[in-house]
Amino acid sequence: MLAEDSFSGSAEAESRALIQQMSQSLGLLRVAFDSTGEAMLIVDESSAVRWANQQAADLWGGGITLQMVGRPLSALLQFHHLDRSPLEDEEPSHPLQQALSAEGRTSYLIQALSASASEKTQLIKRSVSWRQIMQMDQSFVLLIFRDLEPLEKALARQRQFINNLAHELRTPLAIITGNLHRMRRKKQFSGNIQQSLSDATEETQRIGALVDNLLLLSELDTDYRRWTLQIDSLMNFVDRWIVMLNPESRGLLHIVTVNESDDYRVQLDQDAFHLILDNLLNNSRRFCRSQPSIEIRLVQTVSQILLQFIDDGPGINNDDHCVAVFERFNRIEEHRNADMTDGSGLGLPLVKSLMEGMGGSASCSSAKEQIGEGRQGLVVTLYFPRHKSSLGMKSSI
Amino acid sequence: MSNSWTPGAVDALRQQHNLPFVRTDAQGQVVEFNERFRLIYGWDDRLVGQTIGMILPASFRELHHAGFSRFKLTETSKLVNHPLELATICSDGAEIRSEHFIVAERCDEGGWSFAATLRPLEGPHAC
Repeated sequence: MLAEDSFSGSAEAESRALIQQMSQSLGLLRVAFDSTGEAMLIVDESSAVRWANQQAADLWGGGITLQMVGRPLSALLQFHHLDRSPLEDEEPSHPLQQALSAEGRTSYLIQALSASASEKTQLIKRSVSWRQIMQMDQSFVLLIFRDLEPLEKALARQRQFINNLAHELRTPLAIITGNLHRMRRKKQFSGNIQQSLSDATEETQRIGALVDNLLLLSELDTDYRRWTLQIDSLMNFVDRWIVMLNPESRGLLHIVTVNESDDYRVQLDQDAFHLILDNLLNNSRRFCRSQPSIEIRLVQTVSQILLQFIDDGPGINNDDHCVAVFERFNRIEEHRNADMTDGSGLGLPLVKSLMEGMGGSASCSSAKEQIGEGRQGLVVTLYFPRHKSSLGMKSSI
Repeated sequence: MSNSWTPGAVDALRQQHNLPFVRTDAQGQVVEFNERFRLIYGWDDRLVGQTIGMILPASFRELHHAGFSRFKLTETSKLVNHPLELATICSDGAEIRSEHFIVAERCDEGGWSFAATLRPLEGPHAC
């Protein structure tokens, strides 16, 4: 009996020590989270705040973390696009809606709603990242708000420089293109001169495309692109792109779905998606010697929908080159060809940036590796996160 | 952030007989409460020795425990010495919106003592 008492006594002492240790750990974590420069919030399935750190409370909770708990996020703060237009809770580009598909990050202007009337009109810019957390069968979203002001300012300066540069280049480029067109219509020029004029026109068009791509990349780098995200089957998005192509380009394409009954629902920006496919098509047309034959294959995996864009061109046979093609202004030596005008060097980097902006990614590989020996060509794979409603999870937070 | 721990702060709250009052030790365990607290929130002497988390809604407990542990490490808190609109759980599980005014005071033995008045903002005793 005495031994039992002493055993239960020591077990109780151990439990007490364990609770004290956990309590201390909780306090240490709290100190650490409150010491970061980032504001953090955890929001539950009903969009109510479950947890906040001190920076979040200082910005949106009157300085008291405890007073944010249980309150709807929409009662504490309002997200705005960078053009200052308010972002509604149900909009697909709202961080809580985006978190349903994948983790991600973008910049917003944020307005405190619980602050005093004079502070309410003030919008602060923050880089917001979101991530879904599953804990004990409950779903939460972690939101982290970073103040990127010094970096943002540097990027804004760069963006302004590129905007000015683009403006300065577009007018002379339009004049050169117009003159070249007029000269090409004149019949008195010899074949050699006509060829030179044709090369000059192509080169001018390339510089025009380069300016457009630089502007777009600069928008993506500084989060100034306004995304219009829609949820639909990837098949429908592809069909809408094909309808806009000319009959000749349409004839090059062959669409394959691995399983007709699969759910290909994704969330994407249609204009960005069209730009991605336009770039991939231009890329294939430039590298394939004759008329390319292009297969667009849709594949469903557990967490992603894949679009494989497969051509029958020379492809890339080196793993390092498969990574390098996504670097800006990087041209692969094995593809340099004196008979061919260079691309802008920004096509595939733009594809990658646009995919990342929509929460996806892109990679490339050789057709031999993906499809099998004897098959030549390049495979560019676009990875789209599956929308959570397709995974049987709640479609709204 | 408030760092000023007024001597006698706990007793000053204890004297406000018209408001529910509760005090805990440095571990956050209830040491005493007044008749007003007993009447409005329905708790009896069995609450003594229990964690103060018992009278807080579940959603607040996490931040309460973390904040309590943080206080022991840093001896600073933004929660003390000003009114906070929170909620209090009654012995029957009901939740009453209430204004908490929390103070901290260092005891003669060197440990901390925490006390609060919990003014009900709704229900028959709202004031």
